[in-house]
Amino acid sequence: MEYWLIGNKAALLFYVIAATYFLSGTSTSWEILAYLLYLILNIAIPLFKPRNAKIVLVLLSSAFLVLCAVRLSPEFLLLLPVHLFELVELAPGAAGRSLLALAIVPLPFLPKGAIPVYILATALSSLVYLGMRTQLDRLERMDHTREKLRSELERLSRTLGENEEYIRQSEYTIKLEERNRLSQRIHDEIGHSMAGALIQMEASRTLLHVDRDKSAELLGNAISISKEGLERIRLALKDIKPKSEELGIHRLRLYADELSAKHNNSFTTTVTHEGELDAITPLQWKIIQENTTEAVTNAMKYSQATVIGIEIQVLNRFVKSVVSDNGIGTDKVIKGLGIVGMEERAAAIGGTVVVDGTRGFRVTTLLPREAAR
Amino acid sequence: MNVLNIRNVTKTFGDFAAVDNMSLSVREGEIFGFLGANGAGKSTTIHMVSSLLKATKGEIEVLGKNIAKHPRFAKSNIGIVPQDLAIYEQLTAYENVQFFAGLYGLRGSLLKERTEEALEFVGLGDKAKSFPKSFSGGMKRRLNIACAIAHRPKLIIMDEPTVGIDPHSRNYILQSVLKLNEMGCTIIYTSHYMEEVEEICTRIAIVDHGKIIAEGTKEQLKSIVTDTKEIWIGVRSESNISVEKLKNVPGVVSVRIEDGQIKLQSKAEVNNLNEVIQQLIQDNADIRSVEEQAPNLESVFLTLTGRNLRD
Amino acid sequence: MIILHIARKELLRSLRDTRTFMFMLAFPIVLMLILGTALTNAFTTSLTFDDLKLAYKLEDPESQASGYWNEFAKSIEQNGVLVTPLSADEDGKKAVKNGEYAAFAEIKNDGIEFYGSNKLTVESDILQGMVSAFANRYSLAAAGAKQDPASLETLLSEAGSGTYVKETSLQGDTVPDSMDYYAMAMSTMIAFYACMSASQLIRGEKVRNTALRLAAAPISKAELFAGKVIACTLINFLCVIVVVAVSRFAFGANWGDHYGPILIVLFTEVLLAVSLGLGASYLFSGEGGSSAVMTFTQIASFTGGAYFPVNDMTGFWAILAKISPLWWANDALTKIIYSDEVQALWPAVLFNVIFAALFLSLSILFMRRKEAL
Repeated sequence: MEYWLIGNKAALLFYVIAATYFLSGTSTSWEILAYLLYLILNIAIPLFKPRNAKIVLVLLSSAFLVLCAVRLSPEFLLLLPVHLFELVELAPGAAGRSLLALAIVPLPFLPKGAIPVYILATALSSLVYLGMRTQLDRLERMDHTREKLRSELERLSRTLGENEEYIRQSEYTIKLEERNRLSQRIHDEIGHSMAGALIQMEASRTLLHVDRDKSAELLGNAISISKEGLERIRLALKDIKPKSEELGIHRLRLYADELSAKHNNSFTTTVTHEGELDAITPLQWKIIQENTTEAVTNAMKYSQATVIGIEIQVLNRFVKSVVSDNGIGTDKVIKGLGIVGMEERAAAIGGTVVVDGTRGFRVTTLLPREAAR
Repeated sequence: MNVLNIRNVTKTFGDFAAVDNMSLSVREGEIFGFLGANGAGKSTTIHMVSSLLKATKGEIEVLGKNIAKHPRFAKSNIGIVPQDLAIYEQLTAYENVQFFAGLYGLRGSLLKERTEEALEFVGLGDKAKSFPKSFSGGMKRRLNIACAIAHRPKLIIMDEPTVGIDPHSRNYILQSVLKLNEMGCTIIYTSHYMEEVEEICTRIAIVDHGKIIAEGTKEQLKSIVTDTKEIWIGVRSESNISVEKLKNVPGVVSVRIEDGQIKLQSKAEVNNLNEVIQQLIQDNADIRSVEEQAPNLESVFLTLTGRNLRD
Repeated sequence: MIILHIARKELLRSLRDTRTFMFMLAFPIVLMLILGTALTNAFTTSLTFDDLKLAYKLEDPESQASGYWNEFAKSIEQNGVLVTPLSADEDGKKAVKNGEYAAFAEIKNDGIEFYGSNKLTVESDILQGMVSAFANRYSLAAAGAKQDPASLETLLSEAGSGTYVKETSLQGDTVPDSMDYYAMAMSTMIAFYACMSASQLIRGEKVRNTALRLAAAPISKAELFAGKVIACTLINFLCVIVVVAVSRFAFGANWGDHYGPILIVLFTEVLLAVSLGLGASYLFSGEGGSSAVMTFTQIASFTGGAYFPVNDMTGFWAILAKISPLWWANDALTKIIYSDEVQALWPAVLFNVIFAALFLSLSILFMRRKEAL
């Protein structure tokens, strides 16, 4: 807005200079002094930050204009309305707007010939000012709504992220519960039938020399109970045992192999690991898996790499997973949504993600180990 | 009380985040080491703390006051030793220190006293009237420090104060840092000389790509990678050696013998070299060499960031 | 206090920077010496002219005035003026118009009417000076005679004597010779060279890395700025004073009698140069500021008359010359020194101060936008 007012003033000032200096022919150096002083005053207005200082300067400048109008030439009054707008800009609310009416005050003091020009200049300036003001107000309102929408969106996506995390956590809990249930089942059913079989066999041994038939019958019972138990163990184990490809490092290997195959072996993928992989919790595996997938996808898309290395290392207090490629990399890493996503996942359990682009891309995920926390 | 609190500070230049959501606290009386490769965000962080740059996001507190709201307070309590020499060649050593101390509002006899004190402190008391162009690299570095401490700041930030100087001056500077610390100054020290940081810092943060990757005492940082050390002992005859007895030495985790070398894995924090050697002497092992391989900060840095500190 | 502290350091630093300092002194002095002696002929030949021809007519040959006019005529004839009496029916004005005479004087009882040629301006100006001096002397003597008739004789004989001719503008040393001209031109040039050191004020701190220390110290940018501007202005003004003194006492250049106004013009010019240099260092990034200032300084020196007088220029070149700040200063100084027009200092001072204020506010505006220094 300030710039528009300055532009308005400049345009009017040009007119005033033209009218009083070049066209009138009766110009003196006083006029030049007046123009320059006016320039100084008005350059000073945007320089000062405090509102009161601005108001004082605007008033000073207005007073100066009136003085010039009285002493030199009434044309100087043409510049007055813009100052009024400036005041309106500085004074808040409707009280400020009512100041606009003051624009008609100089009318009676003007010589007849100058009145139409004054009205023209004031009307045009007012139009420019009011038009700009309305548009700016609208823009402000729109900005405001946009900001509100943005924060709303942020809030929603945060809740979404939290929900996802919750789902992830509960998945883990469900798995734990499932294992618990299975071991309970083994204990309850198989344990009991084995105990039953054992008792029958003990009894059979005691009766072996006394009553052979009874003993054989008991032994038969024990055998069938054991058979049944064995079948149950088999069934239960089948339930409990997860498929090997679902387990962390195997799953990564599988992923890497599939990837190479899918892209006709245009690049090589290696998976290496070091340290006690058992120390990695399922939740950590999940994060590693997701971040690796993300990083590898990025590498394939942008890096022009021929080798992608996936490395898992269990340190004393951290679990480190690194995806590196031999591609073009970049000197300055600009964070995209992918990297932000990886960071958020890692941050959920107190970890960090470092992206380095100096020698190919290298995405390191560092997760603190459970015991160390 | 924390001399410095950095909370979720981000500094972006265009799209590039030089410092990325960093949080950090420095407690009173610490020598806090700031470790990172070039371009890791050390200098940007330091510049934000000393009000040269404004944080894009987050807040920084010096002595409990927000630096954005109380810039003068923060500035008066900080002394900064810039990475590059920042002295006037046309002014004498004395005038240099006097000028910079004067910027902190010192005047008259107090200014004179503090200026002399600072020059004396860095060992340039007898060179007060000389011009820096007659100084060696180390002396210039020391003058660079004197300019930052004459106003007795509570927090001194040293950005690579020992780059490119002779060992003697370097030692002198390290001793000065310790002395300043004893006098009650809290110090933030950045360097890419790992040994320096290991020698003097009480707490260390490893920075990479604008993030703090790990933070803690030397011991804590070293234990990130592993909590064991390896002791390799070369012996002439391995026949008499009792592996069982070696395993019973406190701290020893495992023992194996390979190619005339006994390789012991031991808990890093236990100092048991004496006992191990005593045991070997009892067993008449003819010891040729002893080598201890404990994790150092360099290897920690390499493991965590995948690159060397001085790349 | 901080401002003085900073200014003191800046002064000390500049004074000790002997190479730059010597350059600022030696360059103009040597140039002055070379140009001043080499171009002596160029300046004097342009001022030679044929005999001065003055025609006159006596209204009343018997009057007292006529008597002393004849005395006067005789004495100026000794100075090489050809004085020709005209008869009553000859038209003096027409003769002057035709170029027969440089000027025509009609001596009446109530005064002297003087017609100068508009072709032979230099000659007629000189003659006018002589005649008006005579008229002044004569009227003084006449006034004195009313008070004390006895002294009339002595007064009038003094009025008629040839000594006063020396006091008119005939003597060669009141018109600038080459040394005088270059003494003035070099002083204004070196005053303007201040903008080169000013463009290094902030830039230099950055190169020296001390900007970091200054920005970290608890001082405001405004204090730093003020200290530097004050010191830079003082040090460069000192250079100018030395150059002026050397030209005056070592080379005997004519600086007129009004040292106060001359120094004021030079001081404001230094101020303008400093502001300009500072503004440029903010407008252009890196070394661009100094090279822009360097280029502008050279062009301004060239067109402003540092190397040759530009007052005879016409059309485009005249306009170009008038844009140069050096021209304002040279113009003002010429008038002050050779025409005793002390008022001529005002336009130059006003321009200098206004532009200085303009560039300073511009710099402040840019400075406030910057994060560091």
